[in-house]
Amino acid sequence: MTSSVGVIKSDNILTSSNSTVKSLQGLVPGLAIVDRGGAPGRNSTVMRIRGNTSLQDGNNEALILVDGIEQRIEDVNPNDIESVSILKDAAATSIYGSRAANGVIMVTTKRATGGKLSVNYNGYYGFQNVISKPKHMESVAYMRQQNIAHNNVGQADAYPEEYIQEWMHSGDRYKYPLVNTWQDAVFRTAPQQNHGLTVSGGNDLVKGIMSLRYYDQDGIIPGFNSDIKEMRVNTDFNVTSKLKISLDANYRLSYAMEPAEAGEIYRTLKHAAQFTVPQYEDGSYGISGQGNNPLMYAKESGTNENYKRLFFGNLKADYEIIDGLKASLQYAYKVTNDKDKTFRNVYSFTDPETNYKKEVQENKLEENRFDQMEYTTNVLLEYNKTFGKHNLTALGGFSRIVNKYTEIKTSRTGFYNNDVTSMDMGSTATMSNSGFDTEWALQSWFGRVNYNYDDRYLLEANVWYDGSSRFTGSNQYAFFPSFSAGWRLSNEAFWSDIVETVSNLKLRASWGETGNQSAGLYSFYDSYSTQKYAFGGVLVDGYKQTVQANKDLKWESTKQLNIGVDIGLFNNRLNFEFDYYRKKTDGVLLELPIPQIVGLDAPYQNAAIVENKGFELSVGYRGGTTFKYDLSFNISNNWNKILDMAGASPIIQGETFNAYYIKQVGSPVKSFYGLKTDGLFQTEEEIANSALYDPNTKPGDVKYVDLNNDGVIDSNDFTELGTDYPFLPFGLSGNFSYKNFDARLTFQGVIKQKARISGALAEFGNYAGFVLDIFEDYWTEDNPGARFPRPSKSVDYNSVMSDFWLIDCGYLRMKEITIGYTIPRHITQKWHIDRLRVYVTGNNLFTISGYNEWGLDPEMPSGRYDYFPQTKVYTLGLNVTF
Amino acid sequence: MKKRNYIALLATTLFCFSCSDVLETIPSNKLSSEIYWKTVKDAEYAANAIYDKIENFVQILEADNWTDIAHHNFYGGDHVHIEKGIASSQNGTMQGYWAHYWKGIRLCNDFMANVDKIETEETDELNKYIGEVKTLRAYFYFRLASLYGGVPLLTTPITIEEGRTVARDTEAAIWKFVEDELDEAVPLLPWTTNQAGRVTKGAALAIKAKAMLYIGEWSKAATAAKNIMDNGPYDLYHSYPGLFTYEGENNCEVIFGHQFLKDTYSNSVMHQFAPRSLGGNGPDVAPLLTLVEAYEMKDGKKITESDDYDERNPYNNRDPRLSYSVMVPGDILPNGAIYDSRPGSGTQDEYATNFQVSTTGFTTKKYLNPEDVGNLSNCGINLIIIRYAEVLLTYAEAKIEMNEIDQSVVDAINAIRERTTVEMPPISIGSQAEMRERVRHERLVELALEGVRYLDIKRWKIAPQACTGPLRGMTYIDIVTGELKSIIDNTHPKGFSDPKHYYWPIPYSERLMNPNLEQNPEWD
Repeated sequence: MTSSVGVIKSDNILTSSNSTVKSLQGLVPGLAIVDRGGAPGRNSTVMRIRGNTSLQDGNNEALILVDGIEQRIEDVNPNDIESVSILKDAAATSIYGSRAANGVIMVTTKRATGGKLSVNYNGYYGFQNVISKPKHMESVAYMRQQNIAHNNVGQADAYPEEYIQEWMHSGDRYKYPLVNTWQDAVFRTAPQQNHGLTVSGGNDLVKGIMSLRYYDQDGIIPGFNSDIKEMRVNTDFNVTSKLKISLDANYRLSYAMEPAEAGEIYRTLKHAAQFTVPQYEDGSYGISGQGNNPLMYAKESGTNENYKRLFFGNLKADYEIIDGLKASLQYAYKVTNDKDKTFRNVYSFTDPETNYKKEVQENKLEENRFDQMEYTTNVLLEYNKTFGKHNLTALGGFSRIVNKYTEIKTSRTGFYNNDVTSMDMGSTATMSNSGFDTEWALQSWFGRVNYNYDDRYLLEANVWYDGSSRFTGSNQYAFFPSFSAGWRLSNEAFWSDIVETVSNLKLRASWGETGNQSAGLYSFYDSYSTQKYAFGGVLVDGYKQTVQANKDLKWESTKQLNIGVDIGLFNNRLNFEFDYYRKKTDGVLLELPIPQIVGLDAPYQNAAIVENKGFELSVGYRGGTTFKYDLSFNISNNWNKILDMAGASPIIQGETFNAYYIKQVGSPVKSFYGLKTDGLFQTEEEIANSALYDPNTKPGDVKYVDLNNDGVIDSNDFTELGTDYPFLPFGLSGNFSYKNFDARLTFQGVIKQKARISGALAEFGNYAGFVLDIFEDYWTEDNPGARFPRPSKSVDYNSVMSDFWLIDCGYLRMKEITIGYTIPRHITQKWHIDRLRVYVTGNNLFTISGYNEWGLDPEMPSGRYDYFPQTKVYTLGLNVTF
Repeated sequence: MKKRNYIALLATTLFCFSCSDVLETIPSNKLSSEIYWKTVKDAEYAANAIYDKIENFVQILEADNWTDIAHHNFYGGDHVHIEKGIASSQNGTMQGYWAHYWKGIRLCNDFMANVDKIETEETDELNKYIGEVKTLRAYFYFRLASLYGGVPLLTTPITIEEGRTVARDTEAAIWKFVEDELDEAVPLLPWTTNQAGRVTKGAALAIKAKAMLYIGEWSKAATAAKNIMDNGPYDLYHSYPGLFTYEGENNCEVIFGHQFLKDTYSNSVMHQFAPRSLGGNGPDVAPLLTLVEAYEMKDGKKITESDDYDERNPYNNRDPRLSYSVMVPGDILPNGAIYDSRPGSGTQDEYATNFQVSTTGFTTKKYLNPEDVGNLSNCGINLIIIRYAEVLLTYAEAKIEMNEIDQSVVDAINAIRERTTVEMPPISIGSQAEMRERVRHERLVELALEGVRYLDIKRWKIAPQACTGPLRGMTYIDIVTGELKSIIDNTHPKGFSDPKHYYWPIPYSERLMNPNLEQNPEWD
């Protein structure tokens, strides 16, 4: 192996997690996985291999292949996985040349190994709980803080002292509710379970493995749940001594349900729902002044149901033409049918104490279908010859992928009640529909030569010639070569003295070019799209051109250099693997802004150049006899920089009251952009002598830095404030075994990372949002050294995008701790059970992080933190092999 | 054996050389511009798409926030910087208007460049669409000139390279173009249409009258207005409040506007302009006391001159248009409840209890209808941009400025005052100075909160005096003490500096890409 690949074997893949992706966290350096929690069935993870190459957020995802065909990794049954290979450098990824610029994650499913029939059952039952619960300021302290906020803008106390006294002395928390008890009201413990049965066996002629799976998860918020039913069959036939055929089929049904207004639940947990009773004794809902109640949204707003059906069929034939020459043919067919059904209820609730009301006057059903069919054809000729110490492999082939997609959306309103949820029962006056089809194709010819001398000198060369339907004319095809070389010093004759200590030493290097066809479909096509209008109450059609077409679109291409060294010591008990890489991506797609007098939206152009460089280090140590241990540690870092933006620099996106980002030459791809601050103003003289963001600034307000010294705080004082890409992510894991016990411990963390907090968390009570207990340290004349500004009602100039609201710290999270016990064989054999293991696992049990005081999860994206939260899970499981 | 092997080898290699037109894909949801422009229907559809670029409620009504009659209810953000006179050339609201009008002009230019490809015998029909597009193009240039002054005069679709080098034309050239375009469009258009909302002869003439009035071309403005008065099918609607209701949509007074349709092409006017208690965002426009004080008493006298005025019951016996335009405490909301913004009232609209309540105690009433109470973001009510009353006022003002004050001028103003549901006492002929004051007053109260005021205070050159000082909100009787109190906000004073703010800046990002666009004086 001369390229940079990280391999994860099936035992290391967490089989008690509800996501395959989460289980990969922290295991391979260079693979950065940010786990954003996610509602049941809607896991949200971000995976990057060696940094961001593209300036478009969605185009940096690694290519995920399951048995050679692209699939979503989220739902792959962890029990079916044999191994996961992370292909990082150009030489490794060049097999997938044109789609591989962002790295490749290759998943291989289990195949039967033959022998007697073996039956495996893997099941677990677990409980999930929310991890982070931000703590609200105590109610009386909050009321006093609000009074000061009102006074600071010349308004009377919001909560007169008599009212506060009444509140304190009353025991009636319906009439005098606590300020914010939503976390306790909404979050609950929720169960999840998984059952997997695998049967495999075979002989020399036929081998087969069949696996079934049932997975069910309830959400920690009411109204959320999901389940998966799955079946897979992988078979291998040795038809003749030269002809092997294998046929795999996989069918998966996934279901996920969430409340129709899930977004409102997350938002109103922290915004616009203060001093509201979640639910009264008689079951009626409290409603806030703005008409909100997250519990009501969870239970009464309606449902969104998402059904996903995947069928995947894979037929492969290998034929040995002559000795050493093999032909291989693969035909794979993937069909996904997704259905999305959202019914928004009509409802009306009134708070019995305050009479605030929330009413939705009309119900609505939206039903959408998304269907995709993808056919892949691969033809391969492989030649393998060993003569003496020389070993040569040559490979040539052809690949074609055709993808067809159809989307159709329909909706109606005005259903008789919330139970009649068939589209037919909605009002025809409001029916609306839309839909379209798309098609894309990829066709490639490739070749590879592998030369190995005595397992000491290794050389590999690849070439890939690719064509994509997204481009036109001479840009349609592109050429991607790569080379790699390796030298295993430890196999050299002169090494034999040291080989006892340094049992393995290999140097490797690779260089190659890979591509990314990230352009949107049909971008080179000059086209009109529809625009509707209404005349006198009658809808009419119109056509207009909205985007300038770009016929010169082509691949983004990445040239990558990788140098690595593998060291094994003490008979490979202690292993080091170190890689240094440099990637330069050219022709990065950029929506270069065009003058607005052109009157059209800007097209994407291949214009920018992005550089990523970094290192990866992993260390492994294993040993022991009775007490066995296998420890590994990995750490990496990626430095990302935009080198050129074809004059379009800078591009600023976002909002000052949320997260504000800049893309500019010399900075990382997604950098925060905002004002710098210098503590809080203390005196009027200070204010009089400083440039101000707002003329009404008073002592206790944030002091912004006038970077260009022009006496005003404006957009010219904004500057780059860092990136949210993690700095020095690392992972630490250990597998232990002692007699019949086994244990596993995994930690994952980051030395430093930045996040911008906004919304209620950065408003500290200036609007009607959640107020953290840490905000109690607010500025007053008696508390001038305070951490937070003076509260001022409806004032936002202390909450704009600045480094004041950027958290910059690291975290260490214990991702998993598992303890298992295998009941001694001599006992289980009495029941014909080959192996019986019970285990308990805890996931995400604790986190050490600077985010803890904010009650936030360090893996959540910047912003208002209104997402489905991360969970910790306690699980009890069973592995049985008959 | 060997033969079989070679066949296998051959089959394998042949398979590799397959056709590559699998890579030629054509979208099923877009039309190529090459196959378009064949029939009159194509012209109709292309013209239809341009109407979407007429301004929406926010873009029209929120312009009143930059004047003396209202202010933006939410203190943060780019919009407020304009009314405070502290906007920079990077102001997002200003950039938004710039980009919006150029998109409209592009669609018009695309139409005009391609419409000649259509061969048809229905020349009248085709000319009608050409007239509509010319009118809309002139309208967009009118808006650009009124805000930014001179801009590049583009009449064909331009490339990106041209966009990077083209320079500004003079303001006079743009106004000349507006006038000429409309003059060419008028003969092509009919007076009436069976598709309410399509540009008609009256709309083209009304836009011309409005544009000529703005630049002080009194004679041209009066002529255009008179043409409409004499030959057009328009009249004043029988109900002033009815103008802004669903029942009154497309009535005899509406000349030009933006049509909407519930569910399929809707707007969210309720969500953006209704009082907070209706459950929306809270009102974007907060009317100021200056507006409320401007309305006369029912007897035709100013409140400062009439004995009928009771400062403790200021809304009694006033020009009915006050109560049709401004929501004051005691009024009935579209959902039937009572609007009470007085401090201590305990309602959801109570002043200073929440950042979404009106900061002056007043909100607008126009365009807010009971039908939309259940679904604030799905309103179908049409936006009126020019109505017949404005044409009458334009005629009167132009004649007054030319000192041709005759009975027709008085009749025009009185028609508006004497409309059913308004029934204010008529005025009589006076001196030029008196008549000027009368017509300006009438314009203020007749078209209040319809987004017209900003251009008026600019062309009358009274903007610096209008946009100054603290924000005056409502007066009210204190619920507890019975004292007469008033709401004043000193923290966000309006500002308008002469001559800088009479023109908006060319957007900063635009000038970065095209340095040939010279900036307006004093702007960065």
